[in-house]
Amino acid sequence: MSAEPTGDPSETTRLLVERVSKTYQSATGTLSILEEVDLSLSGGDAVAIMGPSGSGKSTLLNMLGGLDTPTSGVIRVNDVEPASMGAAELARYRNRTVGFVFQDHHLLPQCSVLENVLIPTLAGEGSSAQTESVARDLLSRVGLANRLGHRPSQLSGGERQRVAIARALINRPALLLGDEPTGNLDAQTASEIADLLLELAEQHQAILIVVTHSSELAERLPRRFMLNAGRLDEVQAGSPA
Amino acid sequence: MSWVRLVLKSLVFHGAMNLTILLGCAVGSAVLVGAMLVGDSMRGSLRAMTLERLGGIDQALVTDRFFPRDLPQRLAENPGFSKDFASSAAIIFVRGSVTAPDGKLAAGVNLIGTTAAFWELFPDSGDPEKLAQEVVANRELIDALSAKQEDRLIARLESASPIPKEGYMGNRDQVVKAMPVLVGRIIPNEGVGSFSLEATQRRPLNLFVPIEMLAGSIGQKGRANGLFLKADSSAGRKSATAADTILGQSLTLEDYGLRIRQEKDFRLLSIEDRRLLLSPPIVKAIGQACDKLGVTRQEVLSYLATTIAVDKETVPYSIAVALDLESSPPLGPLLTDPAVASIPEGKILLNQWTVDRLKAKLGDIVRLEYDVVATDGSLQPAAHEFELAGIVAMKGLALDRDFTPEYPGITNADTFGDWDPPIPIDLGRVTKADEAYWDDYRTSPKAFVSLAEGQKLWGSRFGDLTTIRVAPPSGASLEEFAPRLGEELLRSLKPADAGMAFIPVKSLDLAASSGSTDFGQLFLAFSFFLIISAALLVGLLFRLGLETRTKQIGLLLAVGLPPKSVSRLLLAEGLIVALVGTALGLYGAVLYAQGMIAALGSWWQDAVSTRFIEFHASPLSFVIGAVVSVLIALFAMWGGVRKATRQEIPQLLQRGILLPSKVRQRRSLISWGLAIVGLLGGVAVAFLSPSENVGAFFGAGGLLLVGLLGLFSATLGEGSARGFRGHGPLAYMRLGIRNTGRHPFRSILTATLIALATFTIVAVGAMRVGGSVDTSQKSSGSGGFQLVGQTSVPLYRSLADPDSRFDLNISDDAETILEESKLASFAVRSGEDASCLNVYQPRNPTLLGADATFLGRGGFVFAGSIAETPEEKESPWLLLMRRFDDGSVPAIGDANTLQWILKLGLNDTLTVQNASGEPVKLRIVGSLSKSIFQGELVIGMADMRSHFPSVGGKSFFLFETPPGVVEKLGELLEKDLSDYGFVAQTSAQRLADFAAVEHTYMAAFQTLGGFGLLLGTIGLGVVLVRNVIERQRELALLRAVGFQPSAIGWMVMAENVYLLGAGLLSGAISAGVAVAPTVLQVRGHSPIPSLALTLLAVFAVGLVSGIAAVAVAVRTPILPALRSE
Repeated sequence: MSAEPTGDPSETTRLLVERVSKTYQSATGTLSILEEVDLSLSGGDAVAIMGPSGSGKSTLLNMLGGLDTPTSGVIRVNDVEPASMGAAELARYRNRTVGFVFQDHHLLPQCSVLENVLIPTLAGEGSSAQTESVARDLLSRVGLANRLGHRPSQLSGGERQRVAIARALINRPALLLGDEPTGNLDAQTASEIADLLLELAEQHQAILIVVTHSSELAERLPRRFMLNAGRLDEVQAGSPA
Repeated sequence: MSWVRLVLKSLVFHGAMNLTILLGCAVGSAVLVGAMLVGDSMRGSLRAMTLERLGGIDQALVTDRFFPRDLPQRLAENPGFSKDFASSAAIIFVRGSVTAPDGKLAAGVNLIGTTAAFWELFPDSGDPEKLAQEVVANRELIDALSAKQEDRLIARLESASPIPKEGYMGNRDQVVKAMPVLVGRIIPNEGVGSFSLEATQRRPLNLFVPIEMLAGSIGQKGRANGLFLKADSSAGRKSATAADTILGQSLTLEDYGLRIRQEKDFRLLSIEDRRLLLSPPIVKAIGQACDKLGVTRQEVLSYLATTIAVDKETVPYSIAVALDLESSPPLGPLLTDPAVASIPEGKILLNQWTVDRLKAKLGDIVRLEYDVVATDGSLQPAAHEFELAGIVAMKGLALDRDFTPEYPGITNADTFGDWDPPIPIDLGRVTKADEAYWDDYRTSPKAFVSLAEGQKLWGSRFGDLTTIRVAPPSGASLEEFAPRLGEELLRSLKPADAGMAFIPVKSLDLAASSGSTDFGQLFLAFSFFLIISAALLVGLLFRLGLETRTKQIGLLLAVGLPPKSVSRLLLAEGLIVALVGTALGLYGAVLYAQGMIAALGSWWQDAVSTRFIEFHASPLSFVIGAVVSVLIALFAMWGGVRKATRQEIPQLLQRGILLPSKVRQRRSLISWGLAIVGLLGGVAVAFLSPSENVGAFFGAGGLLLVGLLGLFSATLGEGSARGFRGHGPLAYMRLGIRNTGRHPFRSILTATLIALATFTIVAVGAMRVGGSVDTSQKSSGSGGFQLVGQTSVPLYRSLADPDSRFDLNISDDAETILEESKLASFAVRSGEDASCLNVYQPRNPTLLGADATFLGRGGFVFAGSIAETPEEKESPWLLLMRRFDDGSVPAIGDANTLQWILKLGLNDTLTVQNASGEPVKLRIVGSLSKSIFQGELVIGMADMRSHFPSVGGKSFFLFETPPGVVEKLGELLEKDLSDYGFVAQTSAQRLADFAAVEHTYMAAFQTLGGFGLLLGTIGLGVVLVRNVIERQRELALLRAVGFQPSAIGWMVMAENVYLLGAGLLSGAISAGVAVAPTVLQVRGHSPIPSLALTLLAVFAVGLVSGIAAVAVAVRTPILPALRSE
């Protein structure tokens, strides 16, 4: 079964994280980052994962995005396990199923705004009139319709992050993963970005998972989880984050 | 968006870094392709020289057997000639010396007797008819003599008697003929002025003389000894088969030097040779002809007995013949008393006249005295005793004067008193009775022995028969049968039987113009470290470029681009940079090659005597060189790309390229492994190898280099756990050194670049400092002989013998020195110079024939031999007396010549041709270390005589003199033996000449090492600046908290010195081991001071790299640096 979105709204994306642990071997012994984490989400869900530095937030996000593998446990996206994939299949998974928004926008400085959005399409057959139209549409939705030919160096921090969001969505991913997406932005811009993420995730019926330190951002999301000492617990509505 | 667009955008965006990589690629391809172009230039220049010096000559035949000069006409009349050939020319080609009016001597001059047909082979030379009537000298000869047009020169050359000078009746005394000439025209050294049959880049000394003038001076009027053919077809050019076939069909008995004499009195035919002795191939052909015709033959060896004695009675100067008796007419019978059917061994028959004179009776012991040719070519008295077995009646065949062929000075003498043989005779011994015998019977033999015994006693390398007598078939008249026999004989003979064989000289020399050394390969080898350095630099720069883009790489991987696609993207970018860089490098290659050629022209001119190399380029070299350059660059980049795309993506996105712990551990293990294996291996090889084994020491040096760099790699970053201690410059420096461990790969590459350059410079520098060799030492390259002499005309008298020296008019001064000197003389089979002074690939090297005295003396340093017995091990020269089952001839040569020029090892064989075109297989049984025999191979005299019988006399001499008189003896002998064109050279100078070529190569190597250092310095500078830029924030912080700029300077310079020192020490120590045998052998001046200076210079150049980095570190404003990412 493919983890790729089918484009059929009736087929909802399902994410299942079961007893996922992650440990590292270091000179001083085994370092446990995640301990038997469970999580179950479906298309349209939007969650924030919070926790102190070094709690394993980014590690969990990387495993969900196919950038890392769990030491034990299972992650399934639409019944498919990224951890069991070969390198080529995993790359395809990242390209077609996952959209990443990093704290650092990681835009290619040599490429224009439009070209940066189109970068993920290179893994397929490259950009076409259709994908370019999608990219223009996405950029229009993030408010950058008039900046298509600009270089990243000509954009503000918030604008760069908008480009990164458009890039993350170009292949209509099932999972939209944000790793401190507003970490480098001022409060106003961070709020705008959060709105944008939620809006677009909903439009695409993607599962939005945002890792953040920011309680302001977390508050904006319907569900929140706290990762502490390797364990992931959902924070009930109204509870302090 | 597309891949191409992304690649192009990245190329432009990272233009600065790509430009540096491009320049690295350009340097690499310039060096690589340039080295190949040097090879092209060498081959092209030699090829052009070959075509120029041979003009229209495709096939050449030069023989010591002079033939009638109308042979070209007869060849042209052959129906097959016009199919493959356009024209032919007969010439006389001999070597000699020429003296100017002021006595100045030029030895080794080509004396060419020319006809118009010869000049027509060089169409640009001028009017052939006119030139053929003039004495023409080339500029080289004129300059050597400081002569001018209209000067009267004396040419001295070897006389050309048909009878070999070392044969029994050979004339050993009147060897040199003088020929005065008036220089009518001087021609440049180009075109026909460069004419030579020898494949060498050296300019020949040429004197062209009208053929009749030259023929007359050597007693060969109407004859020639050389034949040139201009081919008109590929077959005619490439192979001698067609030429030899036409020659074989065109030759007459006269051309072979044979004649059939009709003995009408006895009704038989006698076949004789102008050379007196019938050579074995000709005897074989005569036998075949007689068998085909079904006629009987009788083989006869006629010899001059100086004395026939019984007791005290003697008869002087008598003809004795060896033959097997025949019973039937006309070859028999010999009427004897008692009648004998055959002559048993140890028995002799004397004619009645002699028996009467000696008052002999049957059963008496008859003593025969005669002269025989010793192995050194001299005549030695000998005697043999026989029992008188019969008395031959003075009638019938016994009176046949034609048992004896024509002996010059004997058979044509009217009286005994008119005898003028080329051997010493005492006419005082001749009595009236002897005169009467001469008047009555002339050369009728007085003594008869068996053929087998006669051949044993009097045979020589030139043959053991003088006449073959043939009985015509019954009923056939002599006049009728003689032409039939001649025709059949011509059918049986081959030109090679008379030493006449064409050589496809142009095609062979063009093949030899590929050079004795593949200069493309040689310069590739010279440039190896430079190419490696360029590749390392490209790899380093590319990697540094990648490190600035790790986050981009991480992003591309994170958004799902497969690692292979990302690799291809990066490599595509690298490929374009490499292609453009390589294309740029092709221009550089032309400049590099031209620079090298110019450098060789100046360094090399003294060594190879002429500036001959010109720029030539083959498109194939550009293509191959460019492809290889691009592949090397891509390989250098591939490592970085592979590493970058295998990193964990989060790490790439956050921290750039960091070695995973497993990789770090593996690198550390590999480093320690290399260090241990390299150090132990290097030390072990160095200690266990024989002290003179340079190859092993270079191997040890290479291992040590790997080991030391491994050690450096293993210890990088070791101090990171120690924390800081102390304060001031030392503390700053410790901090700086610790920085080298941050990016171990960069540091290792940088140190490697410096180490390679240092290794090259130090190793070559040490080897260039050649010490002087004590040539008086028997165990040296000179074998203890301090003087080498060579003559243009061979000496047929022994220089070692005081009486012979008297005959040769050696002066008293020279005689005094020679009395206290020892000398070795060698027969010389002329061939090509096999030393490094000849750039052509020799196919037929000059051979020296060494006599038993030299072989028994020992001496010289052997690099290797196949010696087995203790005696052979003591003196491997004795191996030249060995006999091999396959008939190969043992030969000894210089190790350098064998290895680099002839490409031969011990027990390898080299096939050369003798004068008859027959193959002679030489087997290498020993190799000499840095000897004076670098231009020749040495074989035993017995082998020389048997395989190259036409080689006569001695032309190569070695003198072991008392101290202080070496030069003086050389000068005296050059004067005393000027008729023979004697030229002397001290062994020290000879060795220095050979070493000059080696030093030229070393200079080229060292220069390229210097370029390598430049690349190393660039690499070091780039790495340091890069390190500083990456640490800008850190350095700004240090300055913000109060560090002085000087402290920053100390830190950066310490990093610089550490990397530089690591490279320098690794390179210097390993190079020191590699060159230890050479350095330890050097007597006189030690190379260590100059090497120390070189290392200091390398260090100073390396420090310059640090200055740029310090400037960047201390000039960057603090605040922007603190804010920067």
